Amino acid sequence: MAHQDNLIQAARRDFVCVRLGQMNHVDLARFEFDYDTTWTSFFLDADLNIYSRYGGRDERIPDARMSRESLLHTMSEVLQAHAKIRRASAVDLPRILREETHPAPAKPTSPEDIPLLKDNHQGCVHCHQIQEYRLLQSYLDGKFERRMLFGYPLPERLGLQLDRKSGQQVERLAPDSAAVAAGLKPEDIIGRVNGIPIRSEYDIRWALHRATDDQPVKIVVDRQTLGTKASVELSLTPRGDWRQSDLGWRKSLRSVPLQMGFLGYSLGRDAVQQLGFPEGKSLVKVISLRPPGLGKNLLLQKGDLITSVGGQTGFQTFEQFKSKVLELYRPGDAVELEVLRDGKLLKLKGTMPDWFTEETSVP
Amino acid sequence: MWRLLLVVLFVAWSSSASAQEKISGWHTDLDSACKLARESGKPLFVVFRCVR
Repeated sequence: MAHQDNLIQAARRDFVCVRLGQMNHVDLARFEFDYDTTWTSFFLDADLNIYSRYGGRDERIPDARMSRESLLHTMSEVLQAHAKIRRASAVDLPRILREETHPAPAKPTSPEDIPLLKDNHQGCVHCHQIQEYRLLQSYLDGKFERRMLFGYPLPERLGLQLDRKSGQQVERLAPDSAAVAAGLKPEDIIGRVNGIPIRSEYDIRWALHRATDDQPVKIVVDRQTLGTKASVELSLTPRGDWRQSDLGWRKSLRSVPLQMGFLGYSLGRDAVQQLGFPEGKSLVKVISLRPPGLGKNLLLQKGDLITSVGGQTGFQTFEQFKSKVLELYRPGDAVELEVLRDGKLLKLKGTMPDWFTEETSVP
Repeated sequence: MWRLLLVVLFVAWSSSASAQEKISGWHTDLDSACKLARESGKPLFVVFRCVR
């Protein structure tokens, strides 16, 4: 889209455009983004102060959360901020830079600073490999946390549905959600999240990614009331497992330190219907057991057809099934599966294993 | 002679890469792009396109 669309090509003339295809020696502290994605962009000044991040994805196709309109909107917002900074006097410049750009990282860090990557990887470093080596390194260092899996939370998890054309205007709110409780309203334009200036939906996700769990999220919105525009500060308290979302699309899922202890694949539509299940039902067939791990704890058998996990269905792939396990359970929890074995539906129960991996490198 | 040929080939290759950048409008070196952004007064648009 950024390369071929005529309107975006025209808008690009106001920018110096850079395309980077590998992550070797890139400053990860500055260029922090969801490394499982295949396309992400940054808008910066010549000193690499960041005006905005644009991109991000979810379980749908890679560019489902992006649009020509929202990219043009972000580009326009960036140009306004850039002009403001260029006009600023020397006295005002430090304050305006603080207001208009994302917080600068304390010190640079590169993929080569991850010991496992430095020791085991040669050649081009791809984005997803950074996230994978970070997971493996954190496990090796005894610092792995489940939260590391659920980065860049989706605004929908707070009850916020944003207008796809701008990425920062509230289109609608989920009833009884944290966003409603905080006082957000449709058509509000989100201007800041925890002090970070917002010019795209991905800016919001980055701000939420950085948010701590012990403090409410501070949101500043621009709101039109009786023809007057006002800035309103709100405090949003997230609820439950608000950071969680489907991990099935993430390449880094294979490097999560979880011993599934079995392999499986999702049955096709015809095979599901032949078994007498309705169209749309998802079944994962266990094809091999590799103890130890969750499979052994559940006493799974080769040929078992998994119909639900924790009462939930809807996993279209084995990766989505694995994601569902990670969303629902923590080590030590009792995992509940329903399986079809020899024509009978059985309920299996077993302990979610402790985090563990023997992997030290990423393919 | 060989040295001269190598120099000619390198110049041809580098000017071709530079011409390619100019045509596509995308730079591939962040440092030189920062310098250009400073000279032109334009902001940077940096895209990470990772293939798997």
